Amino acid sequence: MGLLCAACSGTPAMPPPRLVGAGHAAPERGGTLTVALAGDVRSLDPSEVAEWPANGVMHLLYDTLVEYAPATSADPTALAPALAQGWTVADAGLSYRFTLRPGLTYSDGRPIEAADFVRALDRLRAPDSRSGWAAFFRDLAQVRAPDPTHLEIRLRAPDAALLMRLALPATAPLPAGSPAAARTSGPFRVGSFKPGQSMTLLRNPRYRDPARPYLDRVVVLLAVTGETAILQFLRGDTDLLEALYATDWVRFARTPAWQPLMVRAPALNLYGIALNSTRPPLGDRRVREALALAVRRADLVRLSAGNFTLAPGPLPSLLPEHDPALAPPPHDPERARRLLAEAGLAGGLSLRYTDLVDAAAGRLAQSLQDDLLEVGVRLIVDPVTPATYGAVLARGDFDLLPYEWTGDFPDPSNFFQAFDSRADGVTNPARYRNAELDALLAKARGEPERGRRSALYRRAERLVRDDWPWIWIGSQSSLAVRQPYVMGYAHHLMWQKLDLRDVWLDEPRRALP
Amino acid sequence: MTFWHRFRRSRAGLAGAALLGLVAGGALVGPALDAHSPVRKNVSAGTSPLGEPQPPSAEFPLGTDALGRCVAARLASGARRSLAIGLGATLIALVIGTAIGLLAGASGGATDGALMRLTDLVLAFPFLLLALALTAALRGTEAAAGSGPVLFVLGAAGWTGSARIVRGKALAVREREFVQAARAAGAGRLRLIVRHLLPNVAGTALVLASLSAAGMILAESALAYLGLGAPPPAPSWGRMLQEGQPYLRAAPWLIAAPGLALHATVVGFHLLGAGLRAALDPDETRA
Repeated sequence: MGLLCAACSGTPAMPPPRLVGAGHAAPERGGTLTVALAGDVRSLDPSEVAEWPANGVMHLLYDTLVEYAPATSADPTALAPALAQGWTVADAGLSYRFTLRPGLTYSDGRPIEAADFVRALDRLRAPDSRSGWAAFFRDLAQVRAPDPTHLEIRLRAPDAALLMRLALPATAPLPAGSPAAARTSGPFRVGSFKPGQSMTLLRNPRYRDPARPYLDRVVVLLAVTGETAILQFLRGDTDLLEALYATDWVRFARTPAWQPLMVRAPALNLYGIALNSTRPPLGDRRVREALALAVRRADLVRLSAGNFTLAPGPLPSLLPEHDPALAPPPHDPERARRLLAEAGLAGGLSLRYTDLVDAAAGRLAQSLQDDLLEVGVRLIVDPVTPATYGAVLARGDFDLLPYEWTGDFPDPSNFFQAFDSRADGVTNPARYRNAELDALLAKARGEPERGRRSALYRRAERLVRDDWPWIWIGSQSSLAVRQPYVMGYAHHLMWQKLDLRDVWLDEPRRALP
Repeated sequence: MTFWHRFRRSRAGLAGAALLGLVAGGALVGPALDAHSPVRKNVSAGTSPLGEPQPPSAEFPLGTDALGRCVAARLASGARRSLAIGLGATLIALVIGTAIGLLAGASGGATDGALMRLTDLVLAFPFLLLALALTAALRGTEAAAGSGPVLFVLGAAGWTGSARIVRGKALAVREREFVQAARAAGAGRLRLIVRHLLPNVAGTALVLASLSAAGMILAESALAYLGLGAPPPAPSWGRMLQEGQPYLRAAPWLIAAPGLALHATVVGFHLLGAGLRAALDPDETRA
């Protein structure tokens, strides 16, 4: 039956929402919001959590010294004071002094003191730290709290991106003598937590903004994927849908009632295919360029239902430092064949592509495989589980490998880590080494003036792009759908799809047929 | 009564033969009838501007998949692969299994014990897990691109059942008068096996083969579904199922086509097995 219906009208549209809002104009307090996340949350310690969507939950629980402006603002990468009410920079960018807001408390009423930040940062920068964030805090020479409301940080070398790192939940104040989750500083506190199943977040009545959040409770269902997440949402069991395939996105768009409720936002990530430069013939720049020129990028955009924003090089177009004059390479199989012939590979070659067993990744792999076949390159696609993928990535036992860099903070230095000579293979999958780039990046990191720093990063962007260490594809948009009664919801650059600070519920009720 | 006479009286056998005839026919003539390539992508003509698979139409009788490829062409090409691997792996497993079973059954004693413990050893591993491990060891090489490794893996992991059954049957036949007589007349072990035991276990082995072919085809699809079959873009029913999974509701033909084909083939082999049993093993059928 379903097959017949599908046969007559294209992929079927989603049924319209079952529930609607009451039509209030001003935010209403109270209510429970339920959201299903595709991934799991394995820990409530922000220093142990580094991946989406667990990271989004950390933002809901832990507040930081500084915070990004809302995604709707003119520059969503601009920082605003949060737990700190202000700061001064001295010693040519080597020394920072923060003043905390007066009267800050944790969710249990205990005061938040500067020493709690020292505890959190010392834990991250300790030589034996096992936190995934440790590398970002190694250049902190000293962290101290001269009094309960002041925090001083001294750097080994000037770093323009320090403030951005201090917006990571891992830097949230850590109370003495109790696990992080027992006392939280963010908009919510922990009600219950069952890893792999669900968690309940309760409104933190002592959050620094007394007016927010509006919600009393957030129920987070964990590790719900694909069809289940969509069916739950359509039934009205969940209020936000964050896990959906491009195809399902198209089906929501077919239903007029859903259209205004779909939230698509540019996200801070970069997807590409790393070319292992230590494996011949990929050490040859001409071969790498040939591979990049053989790709039909228009196909990839179409396969993602338009959710890829093409990127010409190592920086996503969302970053202000990205040079808009750069364009993605054209599809030029002629030139690709010529370059391969110049490299002595006119007879064709075989390369190994380690892929994830995943439908979307598989589509991309097969599209590339087909493109490369046209210029005489045979890709042996080897789909593996995430665990094997990680091992292959660490060993460098691949020729080509799809890789997604999710931005930790909106600074080019974060994205250039993937091309840093000192980085290990997990961070720099192409095993790219370029002393000129390293010097340029070191200079840019320490440059305090924004315009000059931008110019340095643009030079670095061109330098890496012209060396073709990756086949860059682009940034994937963030997709979410809300129920009609979920108000004030927007995508946030770092909180991504889980920024619930301004969200309120407009008295859900059954829609009239 | 002859074999054909008895087989024709088995309705199950006839239905199985018809189903398999259909699948084999599709595998043989399908690719010739369909001008579309089963492996090359066709994004511009075969998907909507939003990259959606296209529903069945005059040009694409079973619709297109996410890369705009004709599902009918992939189904037919996948049928060749499934049948070739199912039958090939069965042949390998059957040859190994029958040889070991006959040798064990005919020899008895220490040889029998050793061979059966070896069988137990292989049997102790779950079949699919063993196949997964063997495939993983062979993967990512140029050789893995063909159907060779899957054939080898399924054959090497799937011979134990037939070894056990053939041995049992051989043990029974061994004590029959004509075998005793042959032995008394001075026949050697090899002659006993080839001239007297083999013809008497062949029928059982053939029935087993039909049932095992169904299992092999399912196993090949399971490996492909898990990403361990022949690497993309080779069309395989298992991979078609895996690729179609996110489109379960958006484009159900992506799942329905390979799913029904797989179902028909497996049921076909089982019914054929029932028919063969009726024709070759009349004693047991009656009992």
